Amino acid sequence: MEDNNLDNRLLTVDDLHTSFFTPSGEVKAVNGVCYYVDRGEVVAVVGESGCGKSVTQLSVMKLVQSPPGKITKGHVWFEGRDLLTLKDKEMRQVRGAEISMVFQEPLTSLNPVLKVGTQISEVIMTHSRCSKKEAWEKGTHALEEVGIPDPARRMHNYPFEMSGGMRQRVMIAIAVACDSKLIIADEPTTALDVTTQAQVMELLMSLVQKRGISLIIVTHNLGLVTRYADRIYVMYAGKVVESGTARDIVTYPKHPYTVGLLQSVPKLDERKDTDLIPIQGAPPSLLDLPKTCSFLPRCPYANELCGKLCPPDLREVGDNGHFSACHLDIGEVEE
Amino acid sequence: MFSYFIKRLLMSLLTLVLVSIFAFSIMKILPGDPVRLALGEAVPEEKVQELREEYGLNDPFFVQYFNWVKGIVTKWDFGRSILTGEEITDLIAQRLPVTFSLGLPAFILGIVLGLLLGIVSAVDRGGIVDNIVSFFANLSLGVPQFWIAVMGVYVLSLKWKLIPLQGYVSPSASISGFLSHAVWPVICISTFIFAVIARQTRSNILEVIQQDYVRTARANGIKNSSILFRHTLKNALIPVVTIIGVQMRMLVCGSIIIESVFNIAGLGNLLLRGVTSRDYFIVQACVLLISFVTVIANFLVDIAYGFFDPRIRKSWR
Amino acid sequence: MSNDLVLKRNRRRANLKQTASVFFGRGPIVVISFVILLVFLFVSIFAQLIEPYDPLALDYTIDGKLQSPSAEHPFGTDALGRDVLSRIISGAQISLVTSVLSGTLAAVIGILIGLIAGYFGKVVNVVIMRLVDMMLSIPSLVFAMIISFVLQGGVLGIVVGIGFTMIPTYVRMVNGQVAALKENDYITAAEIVGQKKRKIILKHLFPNCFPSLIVLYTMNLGSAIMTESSLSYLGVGINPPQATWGGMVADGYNCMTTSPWLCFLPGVCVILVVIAFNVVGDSLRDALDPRLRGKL
Repeated sequence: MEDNNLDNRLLTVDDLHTSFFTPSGEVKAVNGVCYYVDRGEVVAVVGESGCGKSVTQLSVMKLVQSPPGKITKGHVWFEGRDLLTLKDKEMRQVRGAEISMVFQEPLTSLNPVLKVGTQISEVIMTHSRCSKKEAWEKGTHALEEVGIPDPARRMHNYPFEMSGGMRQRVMIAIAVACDSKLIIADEPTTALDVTTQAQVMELLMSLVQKRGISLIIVTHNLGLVTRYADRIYVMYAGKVVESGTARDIVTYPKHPYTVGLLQSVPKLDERKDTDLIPIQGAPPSLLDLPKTCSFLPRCPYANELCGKLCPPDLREVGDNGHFSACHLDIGEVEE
Repeated sequence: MFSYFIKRLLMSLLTLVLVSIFAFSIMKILPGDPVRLALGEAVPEEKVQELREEYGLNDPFFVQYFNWVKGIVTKWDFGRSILTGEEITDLIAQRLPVTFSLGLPAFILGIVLGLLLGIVSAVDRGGIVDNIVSFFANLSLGVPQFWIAVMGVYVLSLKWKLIPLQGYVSPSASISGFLSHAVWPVICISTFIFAVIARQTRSNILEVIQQDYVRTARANGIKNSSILFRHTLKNALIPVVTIIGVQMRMLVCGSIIIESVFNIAGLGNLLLRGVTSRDYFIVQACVLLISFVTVIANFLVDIAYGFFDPRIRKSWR
Repeated sequence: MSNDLVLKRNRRRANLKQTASVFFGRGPIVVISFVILLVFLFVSIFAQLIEPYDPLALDYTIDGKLQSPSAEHPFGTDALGRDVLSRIISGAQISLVTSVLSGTLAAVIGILIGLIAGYFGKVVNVVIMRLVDMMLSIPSLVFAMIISFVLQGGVLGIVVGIGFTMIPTYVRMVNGQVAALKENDYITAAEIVGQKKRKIILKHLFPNCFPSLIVLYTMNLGSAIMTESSLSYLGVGINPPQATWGGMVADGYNCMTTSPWLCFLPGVCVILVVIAFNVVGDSLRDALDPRLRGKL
């Protein structure tokens, strides 16, 4: 790891392995992931569906359903404690109070038969010693903070009485209500329509900046996060394949997969006749990973050597902590 | 909620009308003369004709139906038995309390046990309690009620002499007599309801536990007890409420069989008597009454459902 | 054979293999249930050949009636001196015949009515669903009893009676499926480009419904046997002297003090077969369509 002010380090995920034990075998969804988040930093985890990015975050929160899921190896250091060694009760005090999550589906992520106010104030009451009335007031305040008009009335609403964007705001309100130090947003805008997406992202960013919270955005949309993230981790087949500052990743991608991702994202400022280049093929089965680089079958740059070498480890490829897991040296995106 | 209520009410009424038409007309399809069928071949033709006139059987179909319904709605009069001439209303008044005194405790027992054990086995998923409960629930669904009743009589009253062999004592006559007579019939009637409710409760809870909103609650550090009781149970039990309505049917089926095994003079027994002696006024009346009870129960369940589910309660559609 | 066809066949074989592995992978209980059903089927089909005695042959002699199980009569004889084993075999046959016939009757009529209700929608749907509600408001046993009463008993009456009680489940399932299909975008798309809606619904309906229908059919076979034995126990089912499991329990009840096995054995047969049908139905559901868990 590069030298950085360790006091400023909030979360360090070290060699995390999570597997699902299914009838057809062990699915290695997360296969040795390392990353860190500093205080006040916005970090993006990017990858296509099924690459293990969501499972990584669920593992950090110890929310992977077991059985069939199991965290088999690794450490999750959060403010000097390894979350993976905490007892259930201690972990509950971390969830919602120190690390909060915002999920992808605002439609299904709120309980349909409980009032929004009940759901917020329950979280507040769980984590701070206060009366029901105080919790309700704090909840109203939290709704106001996320820009929900007429929050006192909205507290009495049920989720089905709200729009998708509104519900996602409620999710964010719950996440910030207890002054969490870290928010993990798992595809926070994927289920929303485009205009709402931008509003929700702006809201998240303004809250993060105002309160100095750290944020992890999990997404498959590289275009979305380049605007907001300080640093980016690109994941492929359960592993981090490239990491670095958002600027480095976008302008000097070093891993063929990142290059592919960038080429498949439309950009507004480019000439009309630039074709989008999709990544060929499909991700490998996590049941039975190849002994070589897992991106090899889809890699347009691969040479014979790639087929003989072990899977590449992350190596430093540039300044500012730019790492890539590829044997090759790939320059800028070829036009 | 109001229009939901009205809609349910109208649907229930419509169902009742359909049932009454069904109950009435099905007997008309019966080949042969109902009076002749009930009385047998030995009775002279004049007697049959006299009775036909007396019961209004020579009137057109719709007149007969109208008179029948009018009698029930205005005077609570179900007509008279062809065979014995008894007032069916009186027969029902005697027998309905008997059936209820067994069915209601069985119903409550089955639901309470089913809910409790269903919840426990969902929480203990894959554990010993879960396996035991699932075993008994699946067994109960496969064991005929007449057989379990008969075997119970053999073991409990013939071998161990714990309970009386047969019969029924009204609770108003003797509480202890009622209890000793009723305990085994009540258990037999409740087995099926217990099994269905327990299975349904368990699988619903396990389904709800997988839902995104339960994951949200866990991600927010909510206590396990609250996750179970507040976040899971309410969602899981709303569909169970509907099952409870449907189970009213099973209650009646159970009553017919159990009343036959223990020789108890209840409504099921009356219906069976009506069928075997081909006394079709009795059959009509019993069918109507039984579905009346079922429809009322379903109506109440629908209303309860609407009340529990805010999505229905808060809508005016 | 073209490559495409071979591929298709191979895929179907692989699917079948996987379904079978999930089906039997649920443990020995499933295998045992499957074997029970096979034995039941075999015994029913070859009942006349297997029966050691004529199930109706009477023997009023003091020694002949109410015999305890012996080498000669493995399950003893009943109050009229008839061989119990032969009667159980004969009862198996009648149970299978009534359940298969009534189950098939219910499936055919139910699917048809469900299609009509789902396809035409609106008024037709409302009327049919009200009728279904009406049928569901009458307990199945009562319903079967009345229908068979109207048809003057006999096997036909029982088959129709039990069959009718099972129609609503099929109607609801098919109707729901058609209604859901209609909502699908590809149906609308097909309509827009001028294809026949009816054709598309039919084409997609059965592949979608098929797993549920098979499961429902299997489970209904079990419940039909249950209803049949209950009716026979009550004396309003298949007429004596034809041996039925329910009727044998009822006959045995009268001489239970001396010969309890007369009640015991036929009941055990009902339990084994009904539970076997339930277990097989459950496992079929898990193997064919796990989404149905808790719904059927």
